[in-house]
Amino acid sequence: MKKSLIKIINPKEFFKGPRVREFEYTFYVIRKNSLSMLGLFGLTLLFIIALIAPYIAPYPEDALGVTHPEKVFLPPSLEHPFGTDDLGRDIFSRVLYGTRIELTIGLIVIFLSLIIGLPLGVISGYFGGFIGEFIMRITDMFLSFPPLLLALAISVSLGPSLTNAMIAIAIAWWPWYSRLAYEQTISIREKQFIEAAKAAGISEFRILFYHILPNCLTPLIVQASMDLGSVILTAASLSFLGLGAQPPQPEWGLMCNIGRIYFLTSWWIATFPGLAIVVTVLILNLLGDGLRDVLDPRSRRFWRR
Amino acid sequence: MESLLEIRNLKVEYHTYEGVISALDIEYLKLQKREILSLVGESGCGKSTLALSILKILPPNGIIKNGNIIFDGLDLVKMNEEQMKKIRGKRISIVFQDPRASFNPVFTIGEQITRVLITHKNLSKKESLQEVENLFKMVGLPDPKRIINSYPHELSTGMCQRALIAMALSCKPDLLIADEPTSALDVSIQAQIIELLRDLKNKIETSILYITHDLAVAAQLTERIAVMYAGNIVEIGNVEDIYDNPLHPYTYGLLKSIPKANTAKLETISGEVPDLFNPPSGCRFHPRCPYAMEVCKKQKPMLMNITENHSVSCFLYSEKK
Amino acid sequence: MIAISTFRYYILRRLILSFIVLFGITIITFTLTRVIPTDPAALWVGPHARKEQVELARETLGLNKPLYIQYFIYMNDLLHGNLGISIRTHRPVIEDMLTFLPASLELIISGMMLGIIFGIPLGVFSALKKDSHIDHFNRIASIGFASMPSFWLGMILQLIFFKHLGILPAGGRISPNVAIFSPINRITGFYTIDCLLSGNWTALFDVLSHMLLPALTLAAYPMALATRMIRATMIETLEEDYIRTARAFGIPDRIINYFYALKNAIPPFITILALSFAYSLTETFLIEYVFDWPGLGRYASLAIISVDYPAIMGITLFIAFIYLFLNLIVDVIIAYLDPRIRLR
Repeated sequence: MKKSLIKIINPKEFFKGPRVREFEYTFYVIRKNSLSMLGLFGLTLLFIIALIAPYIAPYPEDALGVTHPEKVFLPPSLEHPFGTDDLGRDIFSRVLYGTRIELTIGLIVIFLSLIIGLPLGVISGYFGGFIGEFIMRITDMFLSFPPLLLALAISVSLGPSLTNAMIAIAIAWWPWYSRLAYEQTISIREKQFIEAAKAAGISEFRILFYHILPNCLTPLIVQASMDLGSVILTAASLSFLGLGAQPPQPEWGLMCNIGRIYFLTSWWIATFPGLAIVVTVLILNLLGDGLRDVLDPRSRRFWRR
Repeated sequence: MESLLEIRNLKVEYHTYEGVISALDIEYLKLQKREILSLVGESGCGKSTLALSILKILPPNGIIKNGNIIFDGLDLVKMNEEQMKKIRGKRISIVFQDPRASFNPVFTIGEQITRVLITHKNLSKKESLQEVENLFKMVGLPDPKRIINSYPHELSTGMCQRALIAMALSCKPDLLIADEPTSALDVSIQAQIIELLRDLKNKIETSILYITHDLAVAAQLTERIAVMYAGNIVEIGNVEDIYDNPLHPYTYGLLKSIPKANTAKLETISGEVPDLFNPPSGCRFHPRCPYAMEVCKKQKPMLMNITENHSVSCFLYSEKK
Repeated sequence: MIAISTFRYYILRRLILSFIVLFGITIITFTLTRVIPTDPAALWVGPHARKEQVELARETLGLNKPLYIQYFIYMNDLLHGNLGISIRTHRPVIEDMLTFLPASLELIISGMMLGIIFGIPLGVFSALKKDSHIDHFNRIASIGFASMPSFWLGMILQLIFFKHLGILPAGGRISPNVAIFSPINRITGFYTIDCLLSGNWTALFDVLSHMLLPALTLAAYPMALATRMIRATMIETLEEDYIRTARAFGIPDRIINYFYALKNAIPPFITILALSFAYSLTETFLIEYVFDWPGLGRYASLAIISVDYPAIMGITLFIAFIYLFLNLIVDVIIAYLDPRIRLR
C-alpha cells in the first residue's frame, strides 16, 4: 500500500499525461514573448531585493522599529534617497524591506486560496450531484461580493493585523479558483480521454489526480499569476485603511497611510511606497499577462479588484 | 472555349515563427468557362492556400512571391485591395468547409446574404430579400422565410451549407471555388450537396473549382481533375483519363488506395507527407515514389502534355517527348 | 417562437439562483457580525460601562438568544429595512447610507463614463492597428494604470493639480463660499444635475472642478479594463472564420470592422460596465477618503476606522446586493444579445 502511494505522487508520472509537450512549447513561447520576459525579469529582481534587503538597505534598523526623532521630514537626498518620514526613518530602507512583506502576502494568500479553491472546484465538477451543486452555491455566495469589500468586512471582524488581513483576503479570493477549477473539470470530464481511461479501468483517484488536475492547472496558474498583483493591491488598500499591517511594519500601504497626513508638505513619505506598489504590481501584471498570452490565449481573464 | 482562369508560376509562402513554408509552387493551371475542375490532394498539400491566393485573402503571414493569376484577362496578383473587393463575392465566390463557422453567429442568415447583394448589386433591402428567396428555392431550401430569420446555430449543417452556396451564387459569379464543402458533413448530407452541385452545374453558367481530398467525389462531380501534391500540380486530365490511365505515381497510389467492396488489404502510399519547411529537393514526391530516379532528386519535373487534355509532371515521361 | 421562451426560461433560472445566493449573502454577513473578537454588547455601550450596562445591552441586542433565533431577528430587521444604528453617528445606518449615496453615485458614474468613453475607442483602435507603436504604448499604459493603487493615484493628482499647479481643489464636493452664496437646490441629490436643472452656473463650474480629480482617479481602472477587453475581443473576433468569409465576399472593411466584428464585441462591453461598477463601488471607499468626498465610500472608511460594526455590515450587505443585482442584469443582457447563450 505504501509503495503504491509513493508511486502515485511521483512527479514524473504526474506530468506524463498529454501535457509534457505543452510545457516545452510553453517555455519556447515565453522566451519569444517580450512582455512576459520583462515580467519574469522584474519578478526575479524583486525576489532578489527581498532576499538581500538587509544587506543593501542603508539603515536596516529603521525598518524594524528604530526611530530617529532628530531626522524627521528630511526630503530626498543622497543620504536618504527617498527621504525620511515622521519618525525620522529612512524611507528607502523601509521600502526595500517592504518588498519582503508584499511578496510574502501575495504568495501566502494565493497559496491559501488555491489550497481551498482547487480541490473544492475539482470535486464539485467531477462528482456533480448534490455535493457539487452545494459547493457551487456556496462559491456563488462568496463570489457575489466584490473581493475588496469582503476582505474588508472579514478583516474588520477579525481585528486589524497582517495575519488577519491575509486570511481575510484568502477567504475573499478562493471562490474564484473554485469556480475556475469547476468549469475546467466540467469541460475535461466530458472529453474522450477520460472516458477512455474509465473504460480501461483506471481508478477514479488516478483519473482525478493525473488527468483532471493537471489540465485544470493551466488556467489556474494564469489566473493566479494575474491575481498576485491584485492581491498585493488589496492588501495595500487594507493597510491604508488601518486594517492590515500595523506600525511599525514597513508595509507600503501602511506607509502611504502615514504619509497621507503629511502629504502636502512632505510628499516623499507617501509617494515612494506607492510607487513601489505600482512598479511591483506592474511587473506582476506584465508577467501574468504574458503567461496568459502564452498559456491560454483564448481566455479573456483580467485583473480582479 | 476561352479560358476563365490561368495560373502561371505561382509561388506562395507562409512566414511563421519557425521559418518559411513554401506552400505553393504551381507551374500552370487552366480553367475554362463553364467548366468544373476538381483539385484533389491530401490535407496540407496547398489546395486551400490556392483558393485563398486566388481571392487574395491569405492570412497576414501568407505572401504571393511571384506568379500570375489571370482571371478573364485581369492579373489578380497585380490588383490592389480596392480592385479585389469588386471581384470578391461578385465575380469569384468561395464556399468554405465549415458552413456554420462561415456565418456570423449574432446576425441572421438573411441579414448576411442580403448584405452581399446590397454591397455588389445595389439592391434595396426588399429587393434583396426577394432575391434571397429565389436563391433558396434554387438550392433546395424549404421554407425560405424561416431560414432568412434564423441564426446559424439554429440550422443544421446541411442547411447552412446550402445557404452558403446560395450566398456564393447570389451575384452570379463567373467562378465558384468550393473548398472541401462536404468534409464537415456526414455522408448522407454529403451526397445531397454533391447532388445539388451536379444539378446546379447544368442550370448556371458558373465555372466551379472544386477542392477535395476525395478522388471518388471528384469523379462524381467533375469533368477534369487536377492532382496536387506538396504544393505542386502533378497531373491534370479528364476523369476517364485519370482513372483509366493514371500517369503520375502519386495518382496511381491514390487510385489504388480507394477501398473497393472486395478489397482484402488496404493499399497505402509509403512514407509521410513532406515537411514544407524543407521540401524535398527536385521532385517533391521522390522520397515516396517507387519509380524514383536520380534525376528526380535533382531537378523539378516540368508539366508536360502527354495527350491534348492530359498533362503530367514527372520524369518518367520525359523520354517519350 | 422558440427563441423567446428559452430566453424567459433563462431569466427565470437566473432569478431563482440569485434568490438563493441572496440568502447566502445574508448568512455570510450575519456570521461576520458574530465572529468579532470583542463582545458586541461591550462595544455598543462603550469602554466606560459598568457590568450591568453591558448585560442590559446584551439583553436589548438579543445576544443571549440562540444563534438561529438571532438570525431570524436579523432577517426580520433586514426585511423592514432596519440595518441597525451606527455607533459613530448614532443614526440608523440605512438613513446614513441613503444620505450619502447620491454623492457616491455621481462620482462613480462620472468616473466610469470617463474611463469607458476613452477606453473603448482606444481599444478598437489598438485592435485594428495591432502590434503598431500605438498599440504597444496603449498596452503598457493600460497595464500601468491598472497597477496603480487608487489612493496613491489620487494623492499624486492632488499633488500635481492642487499643490503645484493650483488649478483644482484638493477635496470636498463644493467650495464653502459657493455653498453659501450660490447654494444648490437639492432636487435629486446629484449636484451636477441639480445645478443644470436650476441654471446655477457658478455652482456647476465649482462642482465640476471638485469632481474632476476624484473622477479621473476612479476612471483609471475602467479605462485600462475597457481598452484591454475591447482590444482582445476585437482581435479574437477578427480572426474568426465568418470574418474571413465576409472578406471573401467583398464586404467593405468599414462594415466588417465596425458592424460585424463590433457586435460580437458587445457582450464584453456589458461585462466591462459591470466590472467597472463593482470596482468603483469598493474603490470609492479609498478615493472618497483621500478626496474627502462626502459619499458612501467616505462613510464606509470612517466606519472602518472607528470600528462601527453596524455601519460596516450594513454597507457590506448593501453593496453585495447591488453587485448581485448587477450581475443578474448583465447576464440577462448578454443572453439577449448573444442568442447562443440562451440554449445553455
